[in-house]
Amino acid sequence: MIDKTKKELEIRFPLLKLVREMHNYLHVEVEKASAMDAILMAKTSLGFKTLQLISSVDRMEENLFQMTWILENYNNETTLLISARYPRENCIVPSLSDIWPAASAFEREIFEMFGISFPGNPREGEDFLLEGWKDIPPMRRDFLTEEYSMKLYGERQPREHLDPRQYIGDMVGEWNTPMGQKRKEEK
Amino acid sequence: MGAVIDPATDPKKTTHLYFGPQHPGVTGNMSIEMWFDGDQVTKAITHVGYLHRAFEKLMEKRLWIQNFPLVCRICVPEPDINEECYAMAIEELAGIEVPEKAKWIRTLVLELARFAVNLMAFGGQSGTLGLHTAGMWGITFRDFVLDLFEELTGARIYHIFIQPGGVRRDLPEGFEGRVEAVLKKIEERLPELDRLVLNNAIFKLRTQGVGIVKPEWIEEYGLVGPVARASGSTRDLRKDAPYEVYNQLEFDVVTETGNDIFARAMVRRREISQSMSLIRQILKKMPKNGPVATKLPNLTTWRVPAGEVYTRVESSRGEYGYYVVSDGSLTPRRIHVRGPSYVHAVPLLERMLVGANIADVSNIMVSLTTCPPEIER
Amino acid sequence: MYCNQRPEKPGVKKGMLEKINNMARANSLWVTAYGTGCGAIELRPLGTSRFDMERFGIAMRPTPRQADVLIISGYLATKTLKRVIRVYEQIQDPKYIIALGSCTINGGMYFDSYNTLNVLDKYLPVDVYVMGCMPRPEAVIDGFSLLMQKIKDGRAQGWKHYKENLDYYRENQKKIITDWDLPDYNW
Ligand code: SF4
Repeated sequence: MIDKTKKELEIRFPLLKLVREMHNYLHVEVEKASAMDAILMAKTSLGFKTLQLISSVDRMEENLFQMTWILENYNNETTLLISARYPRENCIVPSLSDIWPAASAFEREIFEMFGISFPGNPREGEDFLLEGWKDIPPMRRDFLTEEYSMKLYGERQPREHLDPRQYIGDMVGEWNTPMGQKRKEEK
Repeated sequence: MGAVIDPATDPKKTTHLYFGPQHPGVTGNMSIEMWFDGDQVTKAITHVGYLHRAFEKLMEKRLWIQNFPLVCRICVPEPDINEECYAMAIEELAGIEVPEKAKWIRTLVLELARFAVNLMAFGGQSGTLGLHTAGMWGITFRDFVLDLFEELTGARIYHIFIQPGGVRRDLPEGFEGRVEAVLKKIEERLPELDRLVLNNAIFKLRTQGVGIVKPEWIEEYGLVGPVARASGSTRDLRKDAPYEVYNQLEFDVVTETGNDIFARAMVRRREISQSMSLIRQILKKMPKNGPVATKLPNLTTWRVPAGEVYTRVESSRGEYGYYVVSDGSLTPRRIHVRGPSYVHAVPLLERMLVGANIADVSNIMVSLTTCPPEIER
Repeated sequence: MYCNQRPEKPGVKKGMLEKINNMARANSLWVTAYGTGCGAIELRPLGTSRFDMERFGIAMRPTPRQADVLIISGYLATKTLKRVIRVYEQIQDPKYIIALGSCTINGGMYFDSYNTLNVLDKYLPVDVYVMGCMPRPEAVIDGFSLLMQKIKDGRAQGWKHYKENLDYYRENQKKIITDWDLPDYNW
């Protein structure tokens, strides 16, 4: 089954790179210009009618975003992964939301998490997971979550005892908050 | 002036309401924004993100093995699915073999977890209709299964039991007998639960013909699990793409053709019986001796070979997928979790609710068993 | 409609009547049904006959207006914090907060996440912390009995504290909720 898919994709896209092949599982990488063609071909003539996931990987060192579309054929349980690489600055990827209604939610999430724009998605830019986010998109590699967390929520207090009971008990008392002070007085 | 007013959200004709996140009828912590004309929904928008903990970002910062406590927290009722999926991905990338006995134990754990969740979900469905007795029973039954988990893994909810190349420990002595005792105890009570729920006139009236999932939506949206199987689909990864030892077990895929909430409840009910028979088969066929884990390299300096893989496991809500990318370093490059609720709760629910009655909203939502943590991660 | 006035400073009440009141309050704790984090799953067995919290007079209520206790059942994402503040302020006085899990104490395993708070004490006045990840039902019952004891002794004064130090709490809350659009006083 997967052999036939592979052969047909290879004929149509000679620049295709094979990433991984397993039992009923194929992962190919295509040029970014032909990614949409490959997906449409998989949908219309190869039987991969369902979109399972749209994912993206930040390859910061190469200044690229790798997009991966995971398609599935429900009739014979084969999975096809199609990847393509896009430049990292002002990354624009075509939207699939008019082909698969489920794509819209995946694209909204990726827009929020990576800042990759999907023109053609009618609901792009609506808040999905975050609310009032002002920093750079959080899933990018250059966003440092630990520093951000430290700045916003305060540092984590170091552990002074190894006995958890004492450790947690003490820390609740030592917190530099009004309630914490009160608890300390109560002790 | 001049702007076109969408009739679905026309402020003169419709009422604008929020459902959740603080609402007893919502599954977990999420909310739906809805517009009503009379008591019919004209438009619905799902809002998620109340539980966003940035798992995928945190996993990039932790060692491969340190991620096990994180992944299990992605799905609260059924954490083992995540561990299994993540462990399968690592095994695939690193080429680790799982010993035979470990495979059986893993299957047992997964099946027990599915059993527990289905008990809770089946009861919970009637809980939303005011039949709280059935809901309470479901949770009590589940508690017996949690006791088994506690004995096996040491924890009630988050087990962190599956590890790459096997499981953490062997079954304790006499465990089979105690599993059988629990199964028997629940089995005796199940007919009563059936009578309470499935023969209940109110339950039937409120669920039959309500919340229709059309069979053509299955491929369009990528619906999986009981939601798809209640609309005539015969897909079950345990049968179609078997992992662990499911190919050595005998069972039939449960399908219904009612398309409505009742059919989905029925699928869950039949899967409870199916799980019981599977657990018994596993205990009977499981090899008695043998190693339960492969030896792993030093975990603090373990570099999983570079590569990308997508692994799938059938959870109680449907197909669960992990897209794992490794660049050969100490930490994962990217892990993307595809929970079944993602499409069930966002695009499907938004579409299903249009035209629904206001009183059926939470009923429909519960019938999809949406689990917000796996949408938001 | 909201009351748009600063809350009055609650006076200190003492004497026999207050003692009797506290006794009554301690024995009928009604809980807002709001599961904010993973701990919520262990609250449901509490209602079943096995753990049976109703023998202590604890019951789940659907709306904050009928409740006395808010359970913060785990980590709080910033998006949830906004709703939790709203829910908390709608509960009638006297009100108490129980926080479950190590996430509320010091951030737990998400200490470096950009979207979850670390120390809940800075944002809401917590009366009782229950440690564990996640706390077992028995531990939650233990937390409730501690709260009862505190109420009976007149020590569960978190709500008074919140009113007195409203500026401190608001400042902290506004720091992390960047799109603050709640009314400032919504009792
Ligand atoms: S303390 Fe543990 S169980 Fe509780 S919310 Fe945090 S991670 Fe979840």
